[in-house]
Amino acid sequence: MKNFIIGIGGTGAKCLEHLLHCCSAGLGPKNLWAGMVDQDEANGNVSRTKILLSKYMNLRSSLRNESKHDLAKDSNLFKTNVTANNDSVWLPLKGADPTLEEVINYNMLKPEVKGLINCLYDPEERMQNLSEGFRARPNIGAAAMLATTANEDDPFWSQIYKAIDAARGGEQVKVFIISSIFGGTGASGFPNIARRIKQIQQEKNVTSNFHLGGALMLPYFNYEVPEENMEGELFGKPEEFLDQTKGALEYYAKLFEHNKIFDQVYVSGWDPLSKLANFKMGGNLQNNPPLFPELYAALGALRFFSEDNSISENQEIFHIGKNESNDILWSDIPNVSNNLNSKDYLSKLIRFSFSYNWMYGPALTGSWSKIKKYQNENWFKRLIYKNTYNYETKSCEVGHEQNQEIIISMQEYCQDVLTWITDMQYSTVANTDQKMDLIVSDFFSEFKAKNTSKRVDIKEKLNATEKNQFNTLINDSKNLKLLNIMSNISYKKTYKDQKGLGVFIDILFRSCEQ
Amino acid sequence: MINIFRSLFLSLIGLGPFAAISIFFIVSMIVGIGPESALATYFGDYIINSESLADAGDSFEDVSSYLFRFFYELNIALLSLTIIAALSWSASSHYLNIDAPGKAKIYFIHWAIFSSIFVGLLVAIILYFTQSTAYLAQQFLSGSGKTQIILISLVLYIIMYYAGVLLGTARFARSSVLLANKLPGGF
Repeated sequence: MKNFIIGIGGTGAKCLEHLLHCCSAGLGPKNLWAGMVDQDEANGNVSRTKILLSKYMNLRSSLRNESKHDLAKDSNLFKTNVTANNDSVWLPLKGADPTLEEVINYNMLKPEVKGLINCLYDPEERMQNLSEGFRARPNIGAAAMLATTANEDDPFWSQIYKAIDAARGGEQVKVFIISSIFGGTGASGFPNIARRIKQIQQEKNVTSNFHLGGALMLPYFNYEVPEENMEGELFGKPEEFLDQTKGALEYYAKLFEHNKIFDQVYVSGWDPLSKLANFKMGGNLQNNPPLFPELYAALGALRFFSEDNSISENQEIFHIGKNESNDILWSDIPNVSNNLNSKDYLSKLIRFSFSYNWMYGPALTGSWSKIKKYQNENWFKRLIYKNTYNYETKSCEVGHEQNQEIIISMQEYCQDVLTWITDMQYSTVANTDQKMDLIVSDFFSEFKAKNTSKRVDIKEKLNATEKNQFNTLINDSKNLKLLNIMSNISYKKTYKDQKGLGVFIDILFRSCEQ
Repeated sequence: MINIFRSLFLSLIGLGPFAAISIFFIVSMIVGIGPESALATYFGDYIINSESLADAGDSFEDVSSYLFRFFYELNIALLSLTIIAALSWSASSHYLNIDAPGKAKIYFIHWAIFSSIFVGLLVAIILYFTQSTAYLAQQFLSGSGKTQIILISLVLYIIMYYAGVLLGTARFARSSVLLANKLPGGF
């Protein structure tokens, strides 16, 4: 089975961030190609996901290397083989600072067509520099997307063509698109890209084995736009989100009534809206926090890709929301399938990240002269020494550069997981009456809502009292103590096909299971 | 919990060979040994004060039942203490707060104190049997016989205890027990 996911716009990229963390926890399918669509290539949200995607792929390839370090086939950690193009982001409009006029060759148009364009777009919109996205103007985005989609030679679109060819060859292919309904890039890209994919499918005469799914994010956040220096600027206005959504939903209602574009659509939103502390029009400063509703979209995608998901002939639309109270709990997170309990997998990843980042990662970092003090400890002897011992040089190579690179990358990834969950927990409910009780994070992190570049500050070191709070880390659950983790890593059985550092990392991951 | 049972099982394996010697001796004492047996000869030659026995007009046969009772009760007490101590440490080692790499060796002090208490109790029991008037048989023992009983008992039961805790200590707590961390990682 081949799976493809396309995150459109800032929201799509953020949903991919959630999805990647879910995949690292073991909730994802066996393989997944991931791509993003955003005109605002430098956008902070997109760059964050791009970096995470590359970290995920690098770490996975290092730890799923059958000759050196192997987590084993049965390990759930980084289970999904995520692949992407060299450049995971597709820009609908290439070139420096494109404008809509340039894209549609406005000056070359016949006067009557020019007149039509003048009716649809005001001069500001026609002349707007689109290098930082479509600024919540789906009418601009739609024109740009339609003008550029589906170039078979484009590396991004060639993947979609290949996918459809694979479906014709008898392989099951699932494509999933995520975007917001109320932005610029997302709102314009979602229907146009979906319809384009469907069109390619029809052109290639593929009638079976190909499934298209989508997640549409209804408004779930807003922000305050500063009054200064905004004159003449085009940007997303939160007060227009609901009207835009209403219009878009009416459009989709008609579209879905007449055409079966999607096999399954997942719709999610949030009420009351999360309030973002910072407004940035676009570019690298637009670094919005991960929010809880995006996790719904990511889990929707994973449900769509799940082998247990039976796709019916009719177009299905799923809605998801939290319980009616203001408390957001683990029980508000749906399972991916009957066999994949989201809470169990995510809490295992969070515990793993904590224990690796503060307990075991630091012990394994550095030269052999620093690490060797643990050489007589059972966990080290059984899981590290034995598996990084070089019989030719007769030495343990855990301190060697290549191994250290993996150990440090894993620690960085663990910090990303802790930052992600902490940021989501605080940012989703900040300045609202809501309360999110998934984890207890105040003892290991500090949250600064206004600091866009680094909202969550993960402590470098924890004292003994803070470490002892590990057993309260996951709410609504019988918690493990660090002692239990130490005990588990000493006794858990290794898999036969595990190798190198993969042995320890997988055992630690499995040891964090309740 | 399964790891604790595993520890208890391994501890019993460690205790086993030495406990077998002790149990064999206890059973021999309960059943009674013949006057021609090697053990009886050894008792007669090295343990019993034959002169004071002769002065009192008694023979080995007359006091053997007192002696046998003395020996099996002493060994039952020592064996029970050793088994309880080894199994207790093996089980409780799983609850030592070893939650971070490098922390196990801090608990060496706990093991040392626990072991000292065990040895102290061992000595107290042996002295109670050999030095107090609680057992009539102790008056028939020679000075060197008492010394031999003390030394042999101490050696046997301390080794038995050590073998029990060596194998039974939780894997992650092995650095707290002398030389236990030299065991192979997968054991």
